[in-house]
Amino acid sequence: MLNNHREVENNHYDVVIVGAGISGAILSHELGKQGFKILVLEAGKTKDFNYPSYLDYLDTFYTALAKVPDSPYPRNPNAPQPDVLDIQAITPDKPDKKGYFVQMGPLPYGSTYTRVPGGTTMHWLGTCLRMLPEDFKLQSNYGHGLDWPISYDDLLPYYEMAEREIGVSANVDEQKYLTLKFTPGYEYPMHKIPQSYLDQKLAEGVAGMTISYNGVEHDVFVSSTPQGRNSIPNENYDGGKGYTPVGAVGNPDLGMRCEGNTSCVPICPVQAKYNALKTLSKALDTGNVTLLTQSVASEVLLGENGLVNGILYKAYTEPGSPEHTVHVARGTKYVLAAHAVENAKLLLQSGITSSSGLVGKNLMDHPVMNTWALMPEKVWGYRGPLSTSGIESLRGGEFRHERSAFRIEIGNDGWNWAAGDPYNLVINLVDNENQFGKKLKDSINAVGPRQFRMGFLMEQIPQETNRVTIDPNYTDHLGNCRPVIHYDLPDYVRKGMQVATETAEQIYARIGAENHTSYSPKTDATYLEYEGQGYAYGGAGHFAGTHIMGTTPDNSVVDSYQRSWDHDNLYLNGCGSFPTVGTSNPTLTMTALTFRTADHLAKELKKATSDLTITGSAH
Amino acid sequence: MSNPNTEDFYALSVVLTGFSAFELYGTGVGDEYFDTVKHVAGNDITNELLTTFRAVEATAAGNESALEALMQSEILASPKLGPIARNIIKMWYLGNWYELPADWYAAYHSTGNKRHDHVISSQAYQEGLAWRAMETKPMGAKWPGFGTWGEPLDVK
Repeated sequence: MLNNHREVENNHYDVVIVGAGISGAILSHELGKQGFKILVLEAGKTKDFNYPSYLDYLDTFYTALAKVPDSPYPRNPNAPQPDVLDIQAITPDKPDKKGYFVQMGPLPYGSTYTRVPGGTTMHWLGTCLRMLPEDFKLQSNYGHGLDWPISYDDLLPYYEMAEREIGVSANVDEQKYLTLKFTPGYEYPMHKIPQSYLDQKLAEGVAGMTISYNGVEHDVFVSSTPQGRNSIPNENYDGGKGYTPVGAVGNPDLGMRCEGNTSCVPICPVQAKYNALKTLSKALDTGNVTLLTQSVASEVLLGENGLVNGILYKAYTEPGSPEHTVHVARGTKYVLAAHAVENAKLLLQSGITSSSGLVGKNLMDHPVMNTWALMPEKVWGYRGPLSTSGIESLRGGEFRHERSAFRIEIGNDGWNWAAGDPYNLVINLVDNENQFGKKLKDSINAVGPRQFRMGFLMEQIPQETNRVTIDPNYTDHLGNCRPVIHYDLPDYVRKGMQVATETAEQIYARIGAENHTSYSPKTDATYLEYEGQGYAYGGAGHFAGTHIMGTTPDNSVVDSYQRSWDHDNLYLNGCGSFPTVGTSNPTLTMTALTFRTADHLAKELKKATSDLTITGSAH
Repeated sequence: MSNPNTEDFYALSVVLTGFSAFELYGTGVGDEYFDTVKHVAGNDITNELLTTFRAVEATAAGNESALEALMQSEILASPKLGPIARNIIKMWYLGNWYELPADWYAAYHSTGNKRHDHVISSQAYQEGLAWRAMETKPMGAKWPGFGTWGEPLDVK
């Protein structure tokens, strides 16, 4: 790690990357190992890449009153991030300015990300499902949303690279549902993460179940979830070469297996879950990558012919103090890899809206509609990863002509996310029901071990009215813009939530579970209505769509390599490039896109070098 | 005014939580909890709570339902002692201190130390009894080991 800005300013890098999250880490590693000189600018606080330093995060987590996704990663006024605790219902015409985001509404955008080295993979769950082939052609197939300019087949080899880098555990035979396909003979790096006792009971309960949507029968079954979490290595992986799990950074013998902490979001105590520090440390080991932390990219500088000729950044020494120095980093190519919202904000702040006018527009998420219930018998949740299985068989089908698809995440976290238990459970029993002693203990025991959650991740379709904008009236400590968010959910998604609710009821009835789901405008900031019924959602952390890829400069911001149509040497890497989100957690697909972009960038850089040589020899 | 007695605090905690002295001492965080109570309520009120408890215990003379009834009437229903007792239960179960209402301070302890809602310590979070009452472990700590989550926890 380097903090000598003068040295940086005197250098000309092959690639300047904004953001040390998973995509910045992968790009810098792939290019750094090929000998290219890379600079990574990271806004977050400097962190040593060793386990004692990581334990600081763990300690912050243990002492956090509300264990929300960013609770281990301290607030930094110079690199502010959104916080779930800031979310509140929005009054019409009254922007909610409580947190980092300025939420214009009408609905709150519920997701958060983290601005630290390693980025949001520090707190992600680790779910690594591939998108369905039909997800890439939502418009052509179903008349809604947009089509991607590439297909599942185009991405297939890159999915395999992504699964290798992240280290994904799954049994491939279980993953061939709906139209998902794999290279013949493909094996995942590690065997599936053992399914929880809850999963097994649910699977027994839904065995043979089908559900009817518009007269079409769909199978309902439980599948193990592919996840970036260390499990038993698959001896058949990579033509028999096998795979060695990557443990904790700086403490490699720890984290070789998931230990069942159930705190994946927001932190894996042993680093069995993949986080981008694992790739970042390999990138630094190439000797060709410079990581500059506490350096907040603040402007993309344009020169002649629409080419980028520098990234202006603000370097601070203390997170609590706005004092900073200003510098410019220069390279041949530039990549924004700061996540969908920050990428859009940085572009808009630089006056770059793209000729399509689409920068910041088509903001998406997976609104997660949680449902929760009690199993008829104890299942002893709060063990294992947060989720080990899902019901994935409902992710695709003809119903997408009318309403959103969804996937079902089976939660091993009891009613923790769904209802704030055991906290609310205990507080209610003590304060409102006046219980103590053995009676209290028994009351907790009567429900706690039977609690479980089914979270419905709804596909959100792109709409230009859902967008990130900026406003000079709203800036942060360093004078950078705060993202201004406009967000709503269309009937297409609300109808999907209606069907999701009916689906949950049918599943709970079939397995004999006691449904305790309830939504209220009094307690749910995201409460919304559809056809007289109330619903609520949480953010999945799946920001997408703010710089979509497409086929022309009029209909998109970037091409399929995530290269800006307007600025030849600028790449906008991340979920912001997704034209649609499907129903799968987006990191794996984004990682695949990143590997494809890395390939492209390497080719372009080699061309640029040989062009120089030719020009040089002409003199 | 004598210092409130730790043994009394644990004895009260056993009755309030329904867990044994062995388990409570075993958490290693009882002293932190006691310190928090004394810091907020002061020695006088803390002593009053512990003295009242010992009197209740003596009167009940081993009769479970009598003890329960007296705990309710003499401590939990008391506007002065009840909030402290309930906070002690929540500390043991959740590792958190919850701020006492302003009118409690006004009525009983106007010079008292205010403490907002907070996690008492890293260890307190990990030793929360709520998880044990649910036959599980705290999220993020006391990890049970690879694959164990696939097994039921019936003790047959």
